[in-house]
Amino acid sequence: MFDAPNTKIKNIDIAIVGFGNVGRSLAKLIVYKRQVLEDKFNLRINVKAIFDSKGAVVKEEGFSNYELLKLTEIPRSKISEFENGLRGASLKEIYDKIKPNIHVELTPSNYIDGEPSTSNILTALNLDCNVVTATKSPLVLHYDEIFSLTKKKGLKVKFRGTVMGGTPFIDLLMSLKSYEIIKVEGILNATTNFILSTMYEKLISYEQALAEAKAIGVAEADPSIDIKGIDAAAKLIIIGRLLGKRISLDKVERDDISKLTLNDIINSIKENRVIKYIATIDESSASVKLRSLEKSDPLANINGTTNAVRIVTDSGDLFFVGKGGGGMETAHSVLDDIISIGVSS
Amino acid sequence: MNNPQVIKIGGSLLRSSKSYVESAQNIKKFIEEKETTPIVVVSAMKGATDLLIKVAENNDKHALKTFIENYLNVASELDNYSLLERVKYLLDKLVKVSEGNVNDLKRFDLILSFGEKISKLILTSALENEGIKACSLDADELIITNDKHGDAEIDLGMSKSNVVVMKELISEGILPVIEGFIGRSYSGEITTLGRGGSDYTASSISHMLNASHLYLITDTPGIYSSDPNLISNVKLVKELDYQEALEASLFSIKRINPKTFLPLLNSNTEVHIGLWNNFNTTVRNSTSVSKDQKVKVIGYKNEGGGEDNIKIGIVGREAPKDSEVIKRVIETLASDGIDYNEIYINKNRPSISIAVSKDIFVKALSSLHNSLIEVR
Repeated sequence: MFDAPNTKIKNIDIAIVGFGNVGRSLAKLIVYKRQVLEDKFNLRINVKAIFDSKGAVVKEEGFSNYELLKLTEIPRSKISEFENGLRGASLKEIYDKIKPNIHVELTPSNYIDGEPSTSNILTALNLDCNVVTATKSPLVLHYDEIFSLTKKKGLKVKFRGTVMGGTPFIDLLMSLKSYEIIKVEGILNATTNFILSTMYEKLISYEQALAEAKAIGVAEADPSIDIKGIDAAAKLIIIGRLLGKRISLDKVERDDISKLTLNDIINSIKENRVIKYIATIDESSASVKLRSLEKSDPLANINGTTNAVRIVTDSGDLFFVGKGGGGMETAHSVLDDIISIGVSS
Repeated sequence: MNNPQVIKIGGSLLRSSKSYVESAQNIKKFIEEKETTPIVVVSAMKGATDLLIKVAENNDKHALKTFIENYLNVASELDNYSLLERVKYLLDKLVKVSEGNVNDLKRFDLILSFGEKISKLILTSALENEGIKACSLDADELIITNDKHGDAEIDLGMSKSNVVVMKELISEGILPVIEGFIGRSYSGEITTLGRGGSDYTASSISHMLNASHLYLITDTPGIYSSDPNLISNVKLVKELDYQEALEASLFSIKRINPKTFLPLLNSNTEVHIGLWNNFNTTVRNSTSVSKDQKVKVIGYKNEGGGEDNIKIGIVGREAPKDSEVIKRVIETLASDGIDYNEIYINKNRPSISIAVSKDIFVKALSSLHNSLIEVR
């Protein structure tokens, strides 16, 4: 079904900006899938530049498999120490030289001013690069600016990795064109869902469950973005945009899950209910709240790092379950976005 | 392109920075002599997994400290700044995980995985020091297993499309180094494959990539006819077929994980077991194994149910079919005055098994070995 023999290989030149977990997974995934992409889609993805917080490496003809794998072995923020690495390189200077087709934004989200990702994306668009981003904050804080420039330039911005990063949820939602979407609600944050389900499973306090989440790497050292609902709220804002709603971060009502006690959990068990951290967006409001659900509610049965969303539409409910994030999972979404721009451009 | 060759480096060989350097030099020699780039599967350093088990089970701080010191010493001695940084990064992660102090099989596997992960980084770096283009690949991305933590089984069908990248790399002259013993479950968590799991990783990769040869490199020159700690006159076994090797591993010969030979049944991979310069045992397809030697290995295992019973296994494809062998087994036991609780002549498997009580099993093992292997 995918075969298209004797078609010329199409080269897609990309630059990866941000080289943490997802960036490294993406570099590896491009190596792992190189042959399949050439055979199935006649696409060759050339990584021409990689940036981290301190510098960059550039190769005009694209990095080889060997170099990409070696780059993933470089310690964090040390990419400029690789052969021919550059310290403090500017995006514009390098893009003028290598002219990538796609800018891949994978820097951490920053909900205070959206930097450096917003400037990176605007610079890339101004230089006629399409954009794939897994970073949420530019879309949350500067959506209009980014998309008006995208439209003006006739480019594409894709962001499947931002919400339920390990699944094609964003693509699914965008494809629901004939439905009226009344409400979207669900479990959008893996860390907090892991904490909650661990509290139920082992009957331990919030602090103990958080410690477990940190121990196995599900929670960051500073988990406040997750436990204060900022991450889930950011995802709601992106979903809202796809539904034509414009909401700002401070308008999303949020609970802090650290206030939850083991007593709350035990009481809910007695009442045959389950407390979940539910993100909801409908016609008039958006919120990330601790909600007590009937045990029979499908969302009450989503545990661990799994995410789930219910889309309430005029023709019934749709229910979508899948992996939240993770380096490799998100890298798959990012690569799919790259391929989709690649095959259509 | 020729079929790939796979080398598995056992933990018994990895004791110091010098031994990593020696392994790298031996791999280099292999590349030069065979004119091919192999795939390398590596175990954790000797003793590392035992230390991590203590960390995981009892939050043993001393074991953690020893583990960290051992690996830091090796990494520092290789004198590569980037390696040291990455080893430290993983050790920091291990310390965080160990602080969790939760009894949970997932965490157990996560902790155990660090021994192999760090060992892989060190070997890759040692190979590069020898001027070899080597790359670390991650088993927790490429090797997909079921969710059975602690004793997971590799999903060969699902992993195959992932490990194909190794073939591409070797065709470009890049040597892939991957850790054994660990994998990634369907639900995305790190799993371990059980004791001796690195052999199983190596045999699975050999199966998936249709390797022509698999070298299991260890600290003994091959598989012995019995446990050399109990029997003084053991012989090296020259040849086994996969079924016999599987049976021998079930009777704890050389502590090879029994799952190792499962992916190879019906394959064409020749398995060579031994030292770098001396592979005495070859495991291959039964059609190419000589039938002359009826009994090859006499091993034993603790029986699950009866605590005081040990099951001795007389392994050889022809053994359970040959009345001379069966007669000799019975005569030996009778003449040496050994009481047995059960003798089982298996028609579908290449073994005869005998249940004896624990206090006489060494004597039984020794009598049978003298009669069936030593005096032929």
